[in-house]
Amino acid sequence: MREKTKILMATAVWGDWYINAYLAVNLPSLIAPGNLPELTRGCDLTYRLYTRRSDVSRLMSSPVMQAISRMMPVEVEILSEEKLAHPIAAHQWAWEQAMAAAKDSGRFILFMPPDVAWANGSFAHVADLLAEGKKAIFMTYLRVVSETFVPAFQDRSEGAQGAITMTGTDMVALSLRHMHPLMAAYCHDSLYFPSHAEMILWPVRSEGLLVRVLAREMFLYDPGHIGLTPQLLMDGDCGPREVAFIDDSDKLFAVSLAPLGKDISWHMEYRKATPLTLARWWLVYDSPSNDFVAGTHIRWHTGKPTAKLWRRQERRSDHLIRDAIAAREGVRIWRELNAMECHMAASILALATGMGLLAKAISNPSPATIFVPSDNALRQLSEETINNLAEPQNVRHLITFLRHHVAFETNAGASLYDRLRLENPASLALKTAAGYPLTIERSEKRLTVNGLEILEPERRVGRYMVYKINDVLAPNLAVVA
Amino acid sequence: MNAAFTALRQVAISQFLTDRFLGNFGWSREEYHGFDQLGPRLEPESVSGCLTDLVNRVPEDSPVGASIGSSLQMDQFIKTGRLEIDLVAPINGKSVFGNRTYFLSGLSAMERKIPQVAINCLSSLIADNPLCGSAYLLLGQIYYRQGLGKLALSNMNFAFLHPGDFWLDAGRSALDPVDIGEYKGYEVVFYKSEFHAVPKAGEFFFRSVDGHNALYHNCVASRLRRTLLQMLPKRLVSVLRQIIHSTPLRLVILRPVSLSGFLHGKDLMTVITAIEQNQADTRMNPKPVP
Repeated sequence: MREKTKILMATAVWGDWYINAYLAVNLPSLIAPGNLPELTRGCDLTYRLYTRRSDVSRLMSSPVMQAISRMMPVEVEILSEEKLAHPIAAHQWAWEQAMAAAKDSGRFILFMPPDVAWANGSFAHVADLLAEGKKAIFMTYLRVVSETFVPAFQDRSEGAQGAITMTGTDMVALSLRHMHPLMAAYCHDSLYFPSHAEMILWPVRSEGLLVRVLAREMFLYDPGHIGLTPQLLMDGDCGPREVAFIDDSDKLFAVSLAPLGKDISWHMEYRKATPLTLARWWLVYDSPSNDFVAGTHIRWHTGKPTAKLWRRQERRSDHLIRDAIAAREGVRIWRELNAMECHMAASILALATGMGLLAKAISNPSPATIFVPSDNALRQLSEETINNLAEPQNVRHLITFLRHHVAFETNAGASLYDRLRLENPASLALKTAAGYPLTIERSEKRLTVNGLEILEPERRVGRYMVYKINDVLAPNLAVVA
Repeated sequence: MNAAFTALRQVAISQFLTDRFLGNFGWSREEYHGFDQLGPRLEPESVSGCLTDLVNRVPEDSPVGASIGSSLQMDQFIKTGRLEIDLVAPINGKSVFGNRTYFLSGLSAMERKIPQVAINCLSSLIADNPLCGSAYLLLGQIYYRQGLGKLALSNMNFAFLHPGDFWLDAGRSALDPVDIGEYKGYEVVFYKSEFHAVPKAGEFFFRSVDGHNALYHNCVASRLRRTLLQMLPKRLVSVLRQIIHSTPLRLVILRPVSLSGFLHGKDLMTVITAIEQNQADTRMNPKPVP
C-alpha cells in the first residue's frame, strides 16, 4: 500500500478582518466533503496556525475549527506583538518557519491563505495529483470584492455542519458577478494594466475567463526536493511528471477576498500589456519554472466550454506569451552584452526586441550558444551597413543577421572550452539558427569559431552561453543596402 | 483636495474597468454586484460630476491643478482615445500639464500617423525627464518606421537603458541639451524647443559636469589634435584626457560653447535635411587638402 503523503498545512491569521474571512468563508469551504475530508483520506495532514495570543480562544472555540480538529492535528504558534508590528515580515517569518519544519520532517508544505474560498472538489483533485507523484502544484486565484461576495457566498451554503459547498462552475459564475476591478485591469487589452504584471486575462464571452500566469509561487510542494528563488518562486527545473499547474475550474477553483480599492495603485496609470512591459516585470520575478507556468492555459468557466471560443482565445494568448518570452530573453541578453562592452551589438538587439522582431528571429528560445561581435568588429563594417540593418525594408536581413549568431543546442549549458577539453574532439560542429555551419576549434589557449577568435571566456546568461568574437558571422551582410 | 480627487478617481477607474469588462463579456451592468455597497452618490454619473466640480475649484496653473489636469487628461484619453487639449508647443520645463500629457500627446500623434508632432512631444518629455524609457521607445519606433536607422538604434538603446516611465521625476535640469542620437556623423540634441546637430568631429563634444550637460569646444588646434591622436597610444590619450578634465588645464583647453552656431530647426526633419544638404555640398565641393 502506497505510503500516505505527509503534509504540513500552515495559515498565518490575526486581526478581525482576516479572522472573520477565515471563519466565515475559508474554513467552511475547506470542510466541504470534496476538500479537506478527501485530502485527509489520501494524505497525513497536520495543520499549524500562526496567530496572535488574543485571537486563539476565538479561533479554537469556533465550531468550524473544531470540525477541522477532528480531521487532523492542529498546532498553534503564537506570534509575538513585536513581530505583529510588521505584518508582512510576520507573514514571511511564519512561512519560513513552516517551510523549515516541513523540510526537516520530510513533509510537503501547503501555505493556506485565510482569505480564500474554495470550490468543492478542489482538494480531492490535489490528492489525486499527489497520488500521481507530483512534487509541486501551482494554482492561482480570482480576486473578488469581499464586501459583496461574502454575504452572497454564505447565502449559497448547502452543506451540513457549517460547511459551504459549491461546485467550481457555480463559484466561477458567482465570483464573476463580484469580480474585483483589479481583475478587469488584468484583461489583455486594458489600458490601465497593473504594474504588478503577474497574470493576463482573456474573457470568453458569456462563458468565463482564460488566464495566463507569468510567475507564481508554488501552492503545495516538497521543500526537501525543491528550492526557492529570492522571490520565493521555484528554483531549478522539474519535469512535467513532477509538476502540475491546475488549469480548469472543474478540477480546482478558489477566490481571494479583497476589499474594493485594494491594490488600486497598481492600475491608476496608462499602461498596456505589451511584450516589453511584461518582459521587464518578468525579469524581476525570474524563475526557471516561469515558462512552464506561462505555458498553461487556465480555464475558469461557468458551464460547458464551447471548444472553438476557448481555442481562439488560447491561440491569441499564445501569441502574446510567445512575444513576451522573446522580449524577456532579448532584455536579458541585452544587459549582458552591455556588461561585455558590446554596445553596438546591444543596440541592434535592443532595436529587434523593441520592434517585436525577436520573436520572428528566435521562435523558441531554448538553450543556445550565442556569438556576439565586438564593437571593433562591427566598426569594421560601414556605418551605412549597420544603419541599413535598422531600416524596415531590411527587416529580413536583420532577422537573418541575428540568426547567424545563435546556435540552439540542448547541451549549450556546458561551455565550449569544457566540451573540447573533456570530450577531446578535434573540433565541435554547431549549426546556427540560420542553418549556417559553425566549427569550433581549439588552438593552444584560444578557441575559434569558423577561424574567428573567441575573445573572452563564456558568460552564462540564463539558459545561454555568450561568447565575444572579433568579427561577424553573417556571410551576406554586404548585400544589405 | 488632492486626496478627495484621488479617491473619486479610483472609484471612476474601477467603474470604467468593470463596465468595459462587462461589455466585452456580454453582461449588463445589472448582472454585476461588486459595487452594491457603494452608496448612490458613487454611481458612475455622479462620480463624473463630482470630479468635474472638484477640478473647477482648483486653479489650472497651480501644482495641484496641473497634477489633477494631467490625470484627467490621461483618463479621458484612455476612455475616448482623444486628448481634449491642443498640443502645446514644447517648452523645456514649462509645460502646464506635465510629462504625462506630453507622452499621451506623442502617443496620440503616433496613432494618428503624425510622426513629426509625436517626435516634438516626446522630445519635450525627454528634455524634462531624460529617464523616460517609454518616450525613447516610441521615438525609436517612429525613427525605425521612417527609415532613420541610426536614430532608431540609439533611441531603442536609451529605452532599454532607462526603463523608468514618465511619472518618474528625474530631478535633472530641464535647461540642458538632451541627446536624441547620432545621424551621419552629427550628434543630434534637443534644446530649448529646437533640434540641433553638432558634428562629431572630435573638437566639439557634450560633457556632463555637476549633473548638467553642456557643449564644449576643444581649443587645441584640430590638426595638432589629430596628429597626437594618431601618434599616441590609446591608453596615453586616455590618461591625458583625465589630466585635462581634472585639473585647471580644462579651463584653458575646454571652453563651453553655444549651440546657436550649429545646424538647428524646429522639427527633426528640417535638421536631418540640413545635415544631408551639408554632406552633399561637401562631396561636391571638397575642402582642399593642406
